[in-house]
Amino acid sequence: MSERTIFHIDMNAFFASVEQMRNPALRGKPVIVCGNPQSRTVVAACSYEAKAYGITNGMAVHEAKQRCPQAVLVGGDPVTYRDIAHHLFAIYEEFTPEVEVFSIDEAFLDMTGTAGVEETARAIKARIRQRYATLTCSVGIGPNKLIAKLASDLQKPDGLVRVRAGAIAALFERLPVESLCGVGPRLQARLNEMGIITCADLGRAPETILLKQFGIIGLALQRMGQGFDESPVLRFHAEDEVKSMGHSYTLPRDTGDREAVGRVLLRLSEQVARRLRAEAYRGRTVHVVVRYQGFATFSRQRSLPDHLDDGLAIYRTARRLLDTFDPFDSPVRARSGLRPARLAKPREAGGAPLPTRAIRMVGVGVSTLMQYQRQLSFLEDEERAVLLNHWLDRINDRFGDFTATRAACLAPLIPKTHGFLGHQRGG
Amino acid sequence: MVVDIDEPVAVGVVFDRGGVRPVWLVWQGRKRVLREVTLRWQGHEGRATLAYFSVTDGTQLYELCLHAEHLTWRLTKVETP
Repeated sequence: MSERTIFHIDMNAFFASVEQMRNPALRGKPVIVCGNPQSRTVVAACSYEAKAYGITNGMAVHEAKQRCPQAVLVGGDPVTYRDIAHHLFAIYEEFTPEVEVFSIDEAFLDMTGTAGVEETARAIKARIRQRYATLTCSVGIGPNKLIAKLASDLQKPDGLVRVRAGAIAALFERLPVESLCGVGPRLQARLNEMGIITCADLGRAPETILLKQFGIIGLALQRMGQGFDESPVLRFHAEDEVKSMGHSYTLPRDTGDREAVGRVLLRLSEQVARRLRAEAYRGRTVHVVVRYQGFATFSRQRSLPDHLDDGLAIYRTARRLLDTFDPFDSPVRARSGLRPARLAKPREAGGAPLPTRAIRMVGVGVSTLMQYQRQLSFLEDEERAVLLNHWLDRINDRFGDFTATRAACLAPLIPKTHGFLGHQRGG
Repeated sequence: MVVDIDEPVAVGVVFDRGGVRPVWLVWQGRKRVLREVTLRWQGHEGRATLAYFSVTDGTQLYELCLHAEHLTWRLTKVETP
C-alpha cells in the first residue's frame, strides 16, 4: 500500500479566538472562556495571552484568576462555536470529501494522492483566514492520524509541520510518551514507572511485558510507540451506532434539596426523551449519575422490561434511582475510586458541616437502545402519551425547546437553556 | 460589561458579496453608524434560522439578531468598555 497523507487541523485556542474576533477590545488580552462567570466554573478555553500565565483548560476559574487577575472572563457561547465549526468543516470539504470531525475544533483530512501537499495545507489556512480573519490553526501532516496529530502539536499557534515516515524514528527518540494521543496522565505515570519515558522507549518495550501490564491494548501501545496507526479517516457523515443518549447538568450551587434535584432530573429526562424520539430510538436501561460536593461521583442503573421514549416514564425510573443514593450509608459503585467509608463529610468554608446529600451535578441517560417505528397501541393511556409527545415535539420543533413542557419543568433552579448543559452520545 | 437588551430595532443593511451587512441601527432614539461587523453566526429557534451579527460603532459592541422567517431585527446585547 502506498504511503498515506493525512492532515490534522487544530484550531488555535478556538473558543477564546472566536471571542477575541467578536469583541476587538479583547484582542491581545488574556481571555478565559468559561461557563457562567457568576457561578463556579472551570476554564473551557483560554487565549494564548492567558496561557502565558500558566492557565490551562480545565483549571478552576478562581485558580486561573489568581494566576492572572487581569484575565477577562467570557461566558461561553456554544451556538456560535458550533456554527463556525460547521463552516470550517465545509471549508475542509472543499479540499477533500474524506473529512473526520475529531472534535469541535479538530479534524482529520485524508489527502492521499494530493500533489503539492504543503501548498494545499497553506491554501486551507488561507481559506480559513479569508473567512475568519483572526482565526489561526496548526496543521500537522503525516503518514497516519497518530503522526499527523502529533505533528500539529509541534508548532502552535499558526503552525505547519510535516513528519515523513522516515523521520518518525528520530522524532520519537526525543518526544515524551505522553505526546501520543491516548496517553493521558495516569497511563503516562504507569509507563514512566516501567522506565518508558519516550515514544521510542514504548516502541522498543517487550511485547510480553506490555501485554502483562495492559492486556490486549499493550500491543496497540507498542505499535503507537513505533509510529504505526492504520485507522482510517472516517467521513463526517459516518457515525458509530448510537448506544446511549444522556444529559447532565451541574447545579448553580450544591444542594441537599432532593425535590429541586428531582425537578432538574425531570427536565433532563424530557431532554433525553426528545432526542430519542427525534432519532427514532427507544431504550430500556435508565442511568442516573450523581456527583456530590467533593466530587465523589456515583451511578446507578436499572433495566426495564419495555423500551421507553417518554420523558415522564424515564423520570419515574430515574427518580427511584436517585432516591436510593447516599454515599455515606449505602454500598454504591463509586467512580471516584474511594470507598464510602473513606469519604470525608463535606463542610462549608466556616467549618459547619453541609448536608451529607448535597448534590453538585446530576445526569440521566438511556441505553440498550433499539430503533423504533411508531405503531398504534391498544392501551388508551399509552396512545395518549404517544400523541401528547408527538404534538409537544411538533410545537417545540417550530418554536424552540421547552416552549411547551410540563409545569414542573418551569423551575427557578434551572436557568435559560443556553450554555454548557452537557449532553453525551455514547458509543 | 455585557448587558442583555432584547429589543426590536430598526437596522439598515447593505446586500454585499452574497451576504447581508448591517450599516446602521436606531436604538434609544439615536442612529448609530456601524464601522465593522466583527462576527457572524447562525442559530435556530424552532425551525426558524436566526442570523446573528456582532457589530461595533467604534465605541460599543452590539449583538443584532435577524429572524429569517419574520424578517425582524432585535438588539440582543450591548457591551460597553
